Amino acid sequence: MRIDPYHQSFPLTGKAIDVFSLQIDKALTDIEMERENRLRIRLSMEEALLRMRDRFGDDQEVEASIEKHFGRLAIQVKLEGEVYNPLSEEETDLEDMCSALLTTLGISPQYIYDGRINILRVQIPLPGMRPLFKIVVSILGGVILGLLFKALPDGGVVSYVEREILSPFYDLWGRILNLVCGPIIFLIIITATLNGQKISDYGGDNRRILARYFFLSMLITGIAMILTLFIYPTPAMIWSAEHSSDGLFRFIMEMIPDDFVSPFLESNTPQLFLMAVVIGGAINAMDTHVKNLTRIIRQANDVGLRVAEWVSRFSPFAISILLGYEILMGRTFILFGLWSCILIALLLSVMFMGVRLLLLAKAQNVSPRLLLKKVWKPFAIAVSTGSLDASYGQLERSCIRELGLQKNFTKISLPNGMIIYMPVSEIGTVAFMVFVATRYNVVTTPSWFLIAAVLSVMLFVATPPVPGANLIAFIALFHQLQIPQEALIDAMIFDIIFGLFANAANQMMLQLEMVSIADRMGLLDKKLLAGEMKST
Amino acid sequence: MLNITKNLDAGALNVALEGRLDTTTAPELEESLKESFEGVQDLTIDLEKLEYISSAGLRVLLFAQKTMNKQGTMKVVKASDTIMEIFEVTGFSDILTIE
Repeated sequence: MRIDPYHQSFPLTGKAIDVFSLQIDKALTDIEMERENRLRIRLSMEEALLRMRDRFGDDQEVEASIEKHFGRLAIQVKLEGEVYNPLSEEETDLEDMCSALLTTLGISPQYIYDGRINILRVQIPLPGMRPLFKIVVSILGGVILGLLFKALPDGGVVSYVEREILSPFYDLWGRILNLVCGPIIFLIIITATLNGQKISDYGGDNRRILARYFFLSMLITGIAMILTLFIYPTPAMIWSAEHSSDGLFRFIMEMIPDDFVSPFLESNTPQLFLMAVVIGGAINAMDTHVKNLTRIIRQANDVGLRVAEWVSRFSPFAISILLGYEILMGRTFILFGLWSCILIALLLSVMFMGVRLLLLAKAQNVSPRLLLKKVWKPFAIAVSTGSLDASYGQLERSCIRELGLQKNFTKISLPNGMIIYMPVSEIGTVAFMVFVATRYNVVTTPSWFLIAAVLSVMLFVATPPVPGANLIAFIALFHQLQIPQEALIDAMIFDIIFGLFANAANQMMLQLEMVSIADRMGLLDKKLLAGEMKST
Repeated sequence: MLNITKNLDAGALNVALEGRLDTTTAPELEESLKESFEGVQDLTIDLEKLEYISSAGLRVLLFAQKTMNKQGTMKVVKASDTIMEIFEVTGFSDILTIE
């Protein structure tokens, strides 16, 4: 998609602000952003400029730009003068409208004051490859590449390609993922701890909701783990109670790191978890005294998620190359076994979703078919676009107008729930972990499975549903569960295919759960829920 | 471009807007409302022919709502789907009385 860069200086007059607002809308339309999301960003930037005008006057000139910047659309405004952040939390003239509008989209505006210049920047991810295209590029591309490599004449050329190109790439890719995994996981968890306090501040109900999501995640993941074991009984299983309790004991004791650095170098997830929760908790306790530190951590987290996003963007090509390499090395079994794992993960997920839907339909005295119709549209949008942003507007509308959830409850619970409640991702993860343990003869014990289930839930509760985050979570699990690096290609293929379904399915499960929660809190319009669809 | 049509009947003021309520035209509406608030107990803002509202326009509506909260009531009527979408996205559908 083509984005025409825009650079203009203008005074903060009404007309100039309107012209810039139209330019923002044009740029967002060019990147095929959904209308509601375009409105959110446009209104936020208008409000930011109006606040600047209120502070500095309409004679003040600003320098505005809209352009591509490292794979994102960057909307930037610069204004010379005393320090002033128009989107800071203290500005509550319009009920914190701007912050809420952007937060809903998962966008954090960046503000810098540098050399007497106020710089406000909003960065919007550009849409990635279409999901089907991504899958085709990665897998079909890998197969074709593998066959081409195999078609090369035996001897020097093949050996050269394998030794000088493919093998180093394989090592490099693995090293990059291992390198970034630790810091990203740490930043995600510490930010989640900081956000957890924010959610708790809304009151006891929200803490109970968080606890409910966590409990349900553990329950679903545990059951999924047991069901998967019937399908993939891991051959290297050691059932001795001594081994099992040893493993669990060692896991708990080794959670305490010896120093600050080694957990990052080793991507030791439990240690990183503990450090992040302790440090995050300490920061929450210090509250307003460490606002700058909180801001730095959140910005660092944004950087970490950006790195995860780049990993995700590059993954299809990496899969092609690595798959080609595996085929050249004669390891074509990679493709065959994995399909069964994906199918099993899908079947398990659909089973859980079906059970949840039926239970809710029974509890609410609503036809399951009607309930499914009401939650179907956002699911379909998320799967077809591969983007949760694209489906968010429809998701919110579906919750309020079709399911009868109260508006304020939806506006708070939906974005929080999307980050915390990802049961289908957890189902897929445990199914995949058991599969790779079987495939690569990993020594397993009952405590191994317990740790796998618990860590899967903890990682997905903490990790936001952004591109690349799932793969980072897999890498973290591999380290902890002694899964060899060879499984990386399996993880990448699994993530790219199952992830597409999982993100959309997580949304649907969240909607169903929110109906139950809203009912308990007296925030559900049951007549609306039982009524026919409002929109087609 | 914004056309403002006012109709005052006893303590009830009806203000119909036509066109765009954006950063350029919002001050015009604000001035017009400020001139007319005195003695008004019921304010109705008719948005049937309003094509677009920007953040500046929302500010004026908020200002009007806060003023009328002290002296009477205010409602917004006949908002189009486009305008309602803006109200819902921004949460103004909870702040304003919309019919």
